[in-house]
Order: sequence, then C-alpha cells, then structure tokens
Amino acid sequence: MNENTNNTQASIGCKGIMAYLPSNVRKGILAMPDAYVNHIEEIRLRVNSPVTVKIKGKMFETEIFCTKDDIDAAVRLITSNSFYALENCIKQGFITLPGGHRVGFVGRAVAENGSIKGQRDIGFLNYRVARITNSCNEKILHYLFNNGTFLNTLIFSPPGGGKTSLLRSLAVMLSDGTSAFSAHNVFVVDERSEMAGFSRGEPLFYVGKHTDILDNAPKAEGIMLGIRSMAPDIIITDEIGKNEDGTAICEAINCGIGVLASAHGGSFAELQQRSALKNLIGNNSFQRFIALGDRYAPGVIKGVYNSKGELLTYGS
Amino acid sequence: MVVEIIMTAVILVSSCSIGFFFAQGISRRRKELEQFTHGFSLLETEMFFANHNLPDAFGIVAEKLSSNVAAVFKDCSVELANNSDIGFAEIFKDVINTHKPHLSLLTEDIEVLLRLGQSFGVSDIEDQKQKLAVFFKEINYITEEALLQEQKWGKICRGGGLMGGILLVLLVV
Repeated sequence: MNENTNNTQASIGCKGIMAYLPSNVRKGILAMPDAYVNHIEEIRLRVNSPVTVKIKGKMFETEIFCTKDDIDAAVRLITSNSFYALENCIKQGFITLPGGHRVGFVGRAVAENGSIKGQRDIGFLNYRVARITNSCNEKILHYLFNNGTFLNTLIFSPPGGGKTSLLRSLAVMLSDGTSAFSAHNVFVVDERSEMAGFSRGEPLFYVGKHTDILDNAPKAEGIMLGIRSMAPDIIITDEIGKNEDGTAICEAINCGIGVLASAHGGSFAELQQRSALKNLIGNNSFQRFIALGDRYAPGVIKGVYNSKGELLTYGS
Repeated sequence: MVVEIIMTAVILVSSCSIGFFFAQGISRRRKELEQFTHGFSLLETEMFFANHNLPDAFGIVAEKLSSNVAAVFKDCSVELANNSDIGFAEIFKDVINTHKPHLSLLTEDIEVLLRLGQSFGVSDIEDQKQKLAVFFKEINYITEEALLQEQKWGKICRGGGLMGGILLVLLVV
C-alpha cells in the first residue's frame, strides 16, 4: 500500500469520528479504556437517553447521558453548521463523514405527497464506524476470473457484513494487479462516499492506482457517465437496490465492461426476491456471487457461488 | 504677517480635515453596509449554487471582499471550522462584537446582521433563501437611509468644517 493508505489510518476506527461527537459524549467515550474504544462499531445517541455503544456486535449502555443540546451540537458538527448543503442526505437519513464513517439520523419527517421531503428536529443518531477488514486475499480472485476475463460479481450480506470493505480490497487488487492478474482500469461509482471516503477532492481510502472515482453521484447515472467518459475495464459500485441501477448495470455489461457490485441480502434466495436484482440474476448478468457473514462476523466470506447459485468454494 | 498666514492656513486645514473626517465616517457606514450586502449575495451563490458548507463559503467570500468586512467573513470561516459544535448564531455574534469597534455601523445595522445570524445554516435551502431575502430587504432599506444621511450630513460636516475654520480665523487672527 502507499502513503494514501497510511494517511487513512488516522481516520479509521472510532477515533476518526471523535471530532463529530458533541463534547460531552466525546469526553465520555474517550474516558473509556482504549481496549473498548478501539473496538467500537457503533455509537447511538438518543435524545434524553444514555448513549449506547456497540462493541464486537454487542450493545452496551454507557453512563453518558445525551440531551437535546448534545443532539443539536452533533447535528451542527456532522453538517458543519450547514444543514441546507446536505438536503439530499437529510432526506435519505444519513451523512457520510470524511473517512467513510456513516451517521444515520431520524427526527420529524417532512412529508409531501406521500414521500419524505426532508427531516427536522433530529433526535436520534447512529454513528457507524468505518473499518478496513482485511478479509480478502488474492485467492478469491481465482474465482472471479475466467481465462483472464473478469466475471461480473455481486457481493451480498446483511447490513454491517463488510461489503464495502471487501469491495475496497477487491478494487485495490483489480486496479493495481497482482502476481497472477494484470492491472485494470477501474471506475468506482461511490454514491455515499463510503468506498473511497472522498473529502475535499481527495479519497481518504486507497482504492488502487488505476482507479477513477465518481463521488456522490446516483449509481445509475454514474455508471452511464463512467461508460461514456472513462472507458473502464471494471465498474465497481456499492449497495445496488433500485431498478434503474439494474438497468445501468445491464448496459455496462452489454458494453463489455466488468461489474463488481454489492447488495443487501441474507442469502441467494433472498437476493432473488428483490425486484432490482431479480432480472439481473434471472438473465445471468452476474456470474459470481460472494456471500459474507452477518454483522456478528463482518468481513467473513461464507462462500462463492456461480450464476446458478451453486457453491464453488467455502469462504475464509 | 507671515505668522498670521501660517496660522490661518493651519486652522483652515485642520478644521476642513475634521469636517472631512466626520463626513468620511458617515460615508464609511454606507460603504460597509454595501460590502455586507455584496458579501451575503456572494455567500448566497456559494451556498446554493456551489453547495459549499458555511465555513468554506465564508472563506471564499472573504477573499473577494475588502477591508473590515472581509475580516468579519474570514473570522466567521475560521471560527466555524474550529468550533463547529457551537451554533452559527453564537459564533457570528462573537465575531461581530469583536469587529464592532473597527466598523462604522450603527446599533440598528448590527441588529439586522445579528438577526440573520440567528437562523443561518440551520434549515433547508428554501427556508435559508427566504431568510436571506428578508435580510436583503432590511439591509437595502438601511443602506438607502445611510445614503440619505451621507448626502445630508456629509455636506454639513464638510461645509461646517470649512465655515468653522473661517470663523476661528476671523476670531483669532
């Protein structure tokens, strides 16, 4: 890895989100033993309730009490006092912080014509700590290539299973190349700024030296833009879920571009139930599926499957 | 005779300078209000079209302004970046209070600025645009008033300085 990766280490882990916690909560968390702090996966702030943290999959209630003022300060911190600039994020209910950490939040929804237009009076926040899970080694690439051609691959797991981390690891290997596989031009459509952790024009996570990143763009449009403008060998995108994502992925595949994507799903059968993925799976758009563990075993590869859902290998 | 001429010249130059100084003070208020209007117009563009957050937007605008008003914008940018858990209203109030002695604004002008600061950044684009529209109406109103004051009192100060000087020359010399 290079310098970029080293710079990133500072913002990875719980310490990377400290600057975005209200001072009262920050002090409380930092007062905890390092052994706990270093393994925090989530910090939940609920108005007029104790702060809870998740460590190695288990929830713990802390002695830190969260008031409305703390919540307001947290919102100011994560939005840099600029609520207006993040309207789309507010509507979707999450903000990605520098370093790829994600803060989900809910409050009073502002609805119009039956759909959520925005949110006000935020009262509940969930800080999810980004991590790099070194779950991936070169061996897996042997299942993703056939005679030197990349096989379109979908990574799936329930939320918190380590999909983004695996995508990032694969992006590096595909982009830089390995002893057995040559380097590729990779195009990352990073709608939520999680994969590359793009901040002020620079990626905070290393995603490969032959990688172009389109940050903050809707996946479907981003994929089409990538096809037109960057002539990639492989397009990588996270958490596909809308029908238009599926259409854009089909378009990329029909253009001869490899696709590596991820989606929420507990099993192969569950994936087939999702409307956006039904067609992609039905017409064999993806030739490989990688199943990851759940949030209690993040980053653990459970198995690699072929387009028919047949298990090719057990995981890590 | 030479002494008298020199004294007359000194008195006239001094009294005229005092008149001009007061006239400039009145004119500075109008200019600063115009600078604030210009600054917040630029800020509006940076916020809603360039989609910059407030610390960045204030920093960019500060570079496009001059004098004391630029310093206000610059300090807002720095303070927002360093203390983002404090609300903008509080930061803006502190910055304005720090710069107040160097500004030629009246209390009512400061109040208009602080009123905008109370709700800045904390709501959605639509709401922010409305708040800015109200602010622009208010600041335009006081700027026009400042212009009238400048035209009226500026002349009086300059003329008064000269007349006062002549009167003093007649009395003393």
